[in-house]
Amino acid sequence: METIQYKCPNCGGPLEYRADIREFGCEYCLSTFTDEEVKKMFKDNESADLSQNTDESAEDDGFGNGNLYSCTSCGAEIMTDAETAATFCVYCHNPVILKGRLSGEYRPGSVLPFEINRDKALEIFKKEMGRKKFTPSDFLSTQTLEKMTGLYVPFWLADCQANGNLEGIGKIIRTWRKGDYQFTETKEYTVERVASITCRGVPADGASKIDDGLMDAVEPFDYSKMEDFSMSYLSGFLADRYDVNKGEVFPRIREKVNTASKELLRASVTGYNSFSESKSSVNIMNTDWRYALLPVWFMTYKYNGKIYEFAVNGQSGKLAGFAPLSKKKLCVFGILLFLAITLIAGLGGYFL
Amino acid sequence: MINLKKISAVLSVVILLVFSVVPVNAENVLSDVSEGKYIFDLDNSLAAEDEKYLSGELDRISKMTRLNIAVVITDDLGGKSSQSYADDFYDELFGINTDGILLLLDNQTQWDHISTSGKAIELFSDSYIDVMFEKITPYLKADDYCGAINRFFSLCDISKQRTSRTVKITLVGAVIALVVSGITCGAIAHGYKSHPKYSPRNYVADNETKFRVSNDTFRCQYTNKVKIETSSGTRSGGSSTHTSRSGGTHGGGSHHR
Repeated sequence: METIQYKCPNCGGPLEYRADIREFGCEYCLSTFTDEEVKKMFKDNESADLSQNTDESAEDDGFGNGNLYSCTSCGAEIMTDAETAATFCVYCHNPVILKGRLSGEYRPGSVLPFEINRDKALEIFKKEMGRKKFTPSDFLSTQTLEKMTGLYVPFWLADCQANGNLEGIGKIIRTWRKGDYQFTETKEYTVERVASITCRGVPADGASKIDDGLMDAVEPFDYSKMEDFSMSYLSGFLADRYDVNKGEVFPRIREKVNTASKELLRASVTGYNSFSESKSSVNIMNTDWRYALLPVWFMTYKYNGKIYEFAVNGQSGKLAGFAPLSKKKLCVFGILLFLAITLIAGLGGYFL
Repeated sequence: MINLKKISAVLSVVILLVFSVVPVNAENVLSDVSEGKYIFDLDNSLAAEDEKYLSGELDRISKMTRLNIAVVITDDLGGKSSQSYADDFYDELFGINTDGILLLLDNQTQWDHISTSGKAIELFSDSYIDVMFEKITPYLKADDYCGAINRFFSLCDISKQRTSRTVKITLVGAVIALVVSGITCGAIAHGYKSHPKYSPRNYVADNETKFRVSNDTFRCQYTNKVKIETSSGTRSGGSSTHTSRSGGTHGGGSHHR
């Protein structure tokens, strides 16, 4: 099955979305085109994909795996997993969008285009990780940094209506001294709060192969900059469709809404020296769902048999991920610190 | 006409009065001090060869510690306390506020005294002086004055005390260093395992949130009364010093055998 590609109308080179200028650019002839121009030029691509049923989107590779595509630039066969929606041809390295992967129920409502390009993402990564002095020596090597890849991650965004309830005892305490006695006056109040709470755009990623904690850590995204979905934005990046449906991500959404609601209710209890909660509950009454692709730069690093994953928010540049720790370097530092303090103690004991 | 007899009588009385005030023992002793002799055996408690040996030891220890050292054995304090006698003896022998230590062994009252001056006041703490007496008293009880004075000299070698103190402080420092470096490394390792957190509170649309119930109802009020305990604290610590008759500052301590 053929793939969809966006080619420069001037030179035929691959057109990719450029985060730094927020337009589409050709790296060969350096032409640039706005969103509207690209959508107008390639409206056939959109309608071709929409007409494609996902069940018929891929040829059978003969082993019963329907994930075989052919590159329209070089004709090479491209093998992918079931969730990949956009990738690069391994032979000619042109960006390709896999026809039909983002159609039907898998078609996102909107996409948040990248605002941080690869160079900027690398700069952020090197600056943040450079501060950590106990990482392995090759952690920030060119070989490692080459792996930085832009990916549109499928996200479920939930708008929830919830009822929150909080009860407890608040105390106002006053103390004063008279003669040889200290007096403590305590006034107790019964506190009740019931609120209708609206949460908007609570995100949960719909990709099982991506760590949920990592995606939570790169929040937030500014949804006001989202665009209606167009496949053109995917050109030059990887993209996945969801393989975790909204029912499966709902527990995570519920936990975030519960936490947000309880924090809101607790913040409304003011003016007390202490507050002890006796009862609290949050019930989600209604949820509206949106499915969007959000931009994230990814990188992995392998150290001592363990894979470390890093993510940079493709809009804000926020970095998340656990840096690898070189235990050898830490031990050396610990020993030197121990010797320094012991030496200072010895010199102090001798001269004082 | 001048009455020479009367003048001679008055002068004799004056001279007698003057000599009665001046400590006879110290004057007699100091007049016999030859260079390097700082053991004053006024009670003849030491044999000649012991005194010679002890003088050599005193000289050695004095050079090593850079302190003036003297030992006085007597059975007549001239009506003074052992502290006053020792302090005055030291001041007249070595001068006021010089660095040194003097051991007085009083065979009359059996109240021995150690007087310190100058830097020795800080080097020889009250507790250490107690230790010195603990070590030399068994020799004195056995009438072994040579042994007692020799032991006193060895205890004057404060460098051993300093070494022991340095070792103790270094060991304590090593334990603290171990705890500090352990906590520091633990904190560093923990920092490598923490994610930046974004509060879900930010997803709440505040302008769409409505409080249907917001009640703060008064329940009760009560007052407690507690008596404030006062206590006076006593401050202790520091070496004890006093001023001698001649104006010198001395430390030290006494001990009854």
